[in-house]
Amino acid sequence: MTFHSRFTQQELPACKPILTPGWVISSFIFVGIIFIPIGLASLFASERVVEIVHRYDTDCVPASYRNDMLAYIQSNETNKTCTRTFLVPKQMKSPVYIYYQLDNFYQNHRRYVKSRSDKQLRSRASENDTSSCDPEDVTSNKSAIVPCGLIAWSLFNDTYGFSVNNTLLGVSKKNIAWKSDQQHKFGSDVYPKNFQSGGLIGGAKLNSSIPLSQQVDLIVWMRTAALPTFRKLYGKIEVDLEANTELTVVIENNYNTYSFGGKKKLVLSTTSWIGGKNDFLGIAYITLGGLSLFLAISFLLIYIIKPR
Amino acid sequence: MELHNNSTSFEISGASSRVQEKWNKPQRSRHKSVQFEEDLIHEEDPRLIYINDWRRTNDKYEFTGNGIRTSKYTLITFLPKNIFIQFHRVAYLYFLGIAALNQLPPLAVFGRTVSLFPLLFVLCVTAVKDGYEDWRRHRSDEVENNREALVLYAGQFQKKKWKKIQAGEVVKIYADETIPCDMVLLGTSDPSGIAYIQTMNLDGESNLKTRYARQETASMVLDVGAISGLIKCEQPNRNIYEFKANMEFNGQRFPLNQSNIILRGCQLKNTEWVIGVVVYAGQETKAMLNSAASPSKRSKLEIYMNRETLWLSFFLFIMCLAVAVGMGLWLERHKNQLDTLPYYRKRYFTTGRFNGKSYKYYGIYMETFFSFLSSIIVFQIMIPISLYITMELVRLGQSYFMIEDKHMYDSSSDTRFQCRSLNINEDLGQVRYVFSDKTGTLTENKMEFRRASVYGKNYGSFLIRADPLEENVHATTVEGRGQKLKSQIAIDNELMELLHKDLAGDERIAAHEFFLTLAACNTVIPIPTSSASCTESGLHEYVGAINYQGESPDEQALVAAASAYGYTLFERTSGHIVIDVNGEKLRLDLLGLHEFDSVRKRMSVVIRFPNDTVKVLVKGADSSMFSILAEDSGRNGHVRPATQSHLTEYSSQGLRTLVVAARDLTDEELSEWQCKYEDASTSLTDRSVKLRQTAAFIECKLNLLGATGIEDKLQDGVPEAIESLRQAGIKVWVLTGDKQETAISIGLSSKLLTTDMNQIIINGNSEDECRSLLADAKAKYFVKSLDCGSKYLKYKKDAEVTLDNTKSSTMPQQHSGKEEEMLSTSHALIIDGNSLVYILEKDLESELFDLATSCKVVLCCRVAPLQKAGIVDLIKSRTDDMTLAIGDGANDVSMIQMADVGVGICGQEGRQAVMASDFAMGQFRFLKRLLLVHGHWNYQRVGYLVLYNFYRNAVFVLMLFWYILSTAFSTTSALTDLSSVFYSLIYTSIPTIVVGILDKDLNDETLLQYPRLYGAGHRQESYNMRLFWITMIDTLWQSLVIFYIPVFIYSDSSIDIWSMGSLWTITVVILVNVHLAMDVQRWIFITHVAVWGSIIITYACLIAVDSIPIFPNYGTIYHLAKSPSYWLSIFLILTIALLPRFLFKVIRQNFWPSDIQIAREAEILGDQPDNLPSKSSKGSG
Repeated sequence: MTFHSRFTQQELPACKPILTPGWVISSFIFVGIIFIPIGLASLFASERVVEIVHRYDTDCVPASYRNDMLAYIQSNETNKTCTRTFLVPKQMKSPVYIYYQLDNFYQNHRRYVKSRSDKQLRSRASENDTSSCDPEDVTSNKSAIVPCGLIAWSLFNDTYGFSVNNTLLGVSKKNIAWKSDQQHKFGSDVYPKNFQSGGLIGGAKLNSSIPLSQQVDLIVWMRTAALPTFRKLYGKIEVDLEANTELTVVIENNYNTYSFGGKKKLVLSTTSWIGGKNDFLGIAYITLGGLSLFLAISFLLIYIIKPR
Repeated sequence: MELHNNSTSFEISGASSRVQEKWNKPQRSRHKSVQFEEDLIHEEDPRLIYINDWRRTNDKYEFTGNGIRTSKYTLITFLPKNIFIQFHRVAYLYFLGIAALNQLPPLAVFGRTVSLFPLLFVLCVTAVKDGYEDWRRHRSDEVENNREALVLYAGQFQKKKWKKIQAGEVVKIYADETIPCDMVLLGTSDPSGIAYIQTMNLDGESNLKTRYARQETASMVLDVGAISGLIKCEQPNRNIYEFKANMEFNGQRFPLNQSNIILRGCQLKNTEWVIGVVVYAGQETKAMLNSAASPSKRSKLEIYMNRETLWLSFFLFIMCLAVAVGMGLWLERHKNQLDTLPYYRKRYFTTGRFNGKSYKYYGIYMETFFSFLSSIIVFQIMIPISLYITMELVRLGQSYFMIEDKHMYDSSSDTRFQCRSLNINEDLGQVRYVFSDKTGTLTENKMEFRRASVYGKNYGSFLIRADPLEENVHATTVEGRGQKLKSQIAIDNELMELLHKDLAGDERIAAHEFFLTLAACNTVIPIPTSSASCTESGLHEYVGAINYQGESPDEQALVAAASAYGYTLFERTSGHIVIDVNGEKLRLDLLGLHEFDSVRKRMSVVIRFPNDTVKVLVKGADSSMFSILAEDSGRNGHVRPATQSHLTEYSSQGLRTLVVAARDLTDEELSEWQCKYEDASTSLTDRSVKLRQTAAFIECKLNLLGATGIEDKLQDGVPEAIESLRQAGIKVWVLTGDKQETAISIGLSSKLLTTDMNQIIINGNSEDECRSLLADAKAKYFVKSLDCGSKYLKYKKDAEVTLDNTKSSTMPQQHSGKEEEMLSTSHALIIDGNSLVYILEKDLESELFDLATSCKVVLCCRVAPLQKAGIVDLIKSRTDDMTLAIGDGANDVSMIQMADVGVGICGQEGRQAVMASDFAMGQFRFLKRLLLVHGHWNYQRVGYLVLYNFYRNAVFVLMLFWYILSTAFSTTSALTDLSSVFYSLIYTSIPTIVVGILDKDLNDETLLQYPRLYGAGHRQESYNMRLFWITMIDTLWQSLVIFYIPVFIYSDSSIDIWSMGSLWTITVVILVNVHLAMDVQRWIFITHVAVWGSIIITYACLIAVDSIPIFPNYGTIYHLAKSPSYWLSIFLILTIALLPRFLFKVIRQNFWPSDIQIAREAEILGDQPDNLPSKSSKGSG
């Protein structure tokens, strides 16, 4: 029979799988055997990650302003500097990543996500391409804002300074943004212009002599988060932190999350092959592997007790 | 003459396919014009054609020229018209509505251009397809219009293009040419004015038909220039079997009928040339007017599917409402913060024009409303519009495999299976009732003369078992009908001897007239195959040399039989018949002919013998003949009862019977009849009624000559096919025009009826009688079913009583009489057309329905075409069960169109049934394979396809929905616009199509071996509400898994929206493909390519889109692929999402397996299940 006629008669050689008990039991055993080690490995990796989470949004407001935190943050007069100390619970090998975590901040809101101009960010020639940037597109005299849009406008502007035993620790901003973003997405000839010059200041100002490709905080911020609670990389500490070291952080508490009740947290974390601290992956894999083995055994018993 | 040589048949098939194509394309505008013109006929507004004077003809009315246009578009009108036609579909309007919504500034969810993609894609594909088809029609029109014909111009025939021919012109056509327009014959090369045409392109019949030029004009055609006259004819209409007109010519006025007209598309055969005058041209020709398609049908599964689509719309509405309400509440809660909220920023804060104004904010209520609308845009694919397109493609693929199936190829007639309708493939898997025609469908419609009763004496009784003849049948049928008849007449020597006696004595004279009638009383055309053999005088040479062409196979069989007994029909013109009686040529003048019609059920000819005696020869159905016989005289006193008993005998053997009679006409009768006949046949209105009255005038007081019995052979494999269908739980009803006895005997020989069945016979002559018969039968049946056995004898007695009070003929009761067998005895209902008249028109319908559905077999005899449709409707309107009608003749058309599935047999009775059908095939026995194998496969495939598509789209939409809940209800999609659009278009569309076409759960051998597996379709196992809801629950679970697992894994992480979107995109694509892979029952390499290829394509697209720096998602996939937790998430999601489904499947298949599952395991593991489908025979694991 030729290939063509086997095709037209629907009789091509075929594999017809059926779920025989043997197949079912071995596939469950297979899943169990594969998943449990993966789960153990990721759980182990997650356990080794040392993470310090420190919430400072309320604590950094002087007691006198606690009832009207908005007035505190919006005032130009108040002192925004705030010093916090905490212990390093376990040794943290370098690099120690510094994140800020915002809560209840909908970086994924449609109005927000759309309010950017990737063309403008990329090349100077498209500087006036601000049509998608409403309501932060142009200044009142119709001059384009670079970088335009709500995302850039609301750039996070708290800063952190770390010291151990009164020795300042250097915070490296190297490689905190994606290389691809720095090289291809944010132009090296695009300089900030008219930024934060409007009636309402949203956040950080940018040094207009540094091209966007070097504005790593902006680049990180512009990779908008997927979920309303998110972390963003602030920098790295390139030295090991020993256990029980007392770490002092000087926070410039500028960013206004008080108006919508958002929390601000500072996070220090080491890393592993699965990323940051996350037990879920490991637990899920172990549970699933265990369940598979349990099912395999159940089916085995059923077939032994009551064969078909 | 050799009709079926290769070269001509090739030509014919080429031409016919082109015409068919035209027939398939209905043109709306034409429908209207047809109706309009039908009205005109009623107003008696004839069309006037001045012969050979087209100027005058076209003076008053602007008749259409002969150019035809089957194409729909021109270059200019293509775009607007095509788009306009396309937007008649609801699906496209939905697309358009969504795209339009997306263009509104506050709602622009997707990029404006991206949102137009799906619509443009579908529009373009359809437009290209339509354009290509139209271009082909343009080309064929072009070819057709530029063909040339000879047209009379200034006394000479000159070549003229077809498109320039006009009504009124005189055209000359040579042999084998195609006729360019509808023409009235003026003259032919034959001095008597006969022309033969083949109407293959028109009605598919391959035999030659005779057309006559009127004697008055035929003699004039040599002087063509001088022809002039006036034809008054009816307005153009679609009836190809009728033509009413009259002609004024040289001061004479005479009628024209359909035997005087040749129609466009026919071919001239066997005639050197003809000359005719154009009456209808171009679009007004009957062939063009007939190019309308049968009404389109919708599959039942699709109707259910639409019901579920309503549910999906409801879900869509709920989701959109949830988003809108959420949005409203969220705005309400944050209304004081909105101005400055960094991610909302309701207000402009620039100085100048905009200062303080709201930015894209229209108040809470409007925002809520807009949010509702934009959620519709985001969730649009919840309504699986693409499913309709997918289904069309899948059905197209399925049809391809049905057409290519070599087991449904009929080699004897060289016909393949045809799918004429692409909408109802899956209905074939759920058929519950099969309504079958008998003649030509169950039987071959190849008639063989078997028995004769001449003057009360029975002949041919031993021939009925003449087995050597049977072998001949198969050897010769292939060569064509004309040939077959010559070699297969078995001659009864006793009868032969009688015929060789001197012409004296009643019996001898009766035999003489009997065979004269057989030879003369018909419409068969003798065609000498070669002129040389005509000069020889041997009987057998004539037999071998003459080919009989006729419209009725019965007549051909009779003429051939007469020829075998020495009465060879030799020549037939409109005026005379020449019969060769044992070597002597007998020329009979044909004074008149009353054709067979279904009211009279007989036909008669009036002939004048050379010795000036005039006789009327009649043959007809026994029911219509015995009432018009002369009162019993001494002469034929014994003949009548003897013939009647012979008829009963023939009938019981399954033979078709005809009664032959004749009488002399006196001069007075003759002249009175001639007067009436002339009047009736020239009348333009009510001609058929007048002719019938005229016929009744002479068809009376006839002398009975005898009767004939013709065998109608069963087609190959019919009993087996019926047995299988019955085992599959399909009820087979036979609807036939034949009489009760014949129907029952065919029923027995086709195993439809078995001897142990109770036959309930209903044949009443009044409403009351029918009512009581029905009630009795019902009472008996229900009593019996409660208390079997003991009542049986009583029942049997009653059945006989029922029989006796209805008909004079006695029915052989087929009872086994064994009490114990009665327990499992089923019932057969036999009902005749007469009773059906009373039952179907009155309120007895439901009684009949109850009775009929509780019987295993129903035979309806003597039913008219419309009654056939009525019976189908009886079932169709009262149950949800699928009905299938199968037939081959024009009388089955109404039934075929009425049934859910119409199947046409490409048989001997023309192509009308095929043209009206949804599927067409060569043999009845293919029905078994069509239903049990292809029907089953198609049903399983389409059922799964629909559910899977619901799931595929819903899981995607739900995933988007969960995400929107965590974006402050702002209808953000984490997926890129392109991914959202490509998801159902590219990423996941191909595997479902491939699986929908190629997957098969069981082999054809298994399905044919265990017809009960067909029950899966009856029980709606592949698609039902329960499955829909299970699928939806599974979908909900999978969507939750797909959304929440990444959320848990990446909570408190720095993941960005595009990475998350990319993860979701790839996971959902892999998930739905693996889900499909889990359900694939037969993996061939194409399936592998489609399923795994789709995942690879998705990755390729993601990589491509993430490589363009202008998109915000630039570089995402490269970054993600480096992280192990990305891969671990994918595997985790797949396993958790599919685990419940897998578990459900395993438990179901191992502990509660379906019949199909058992058969499948047995098939694959090589077990032979002994008593399928019982659970003890399951394949071992």
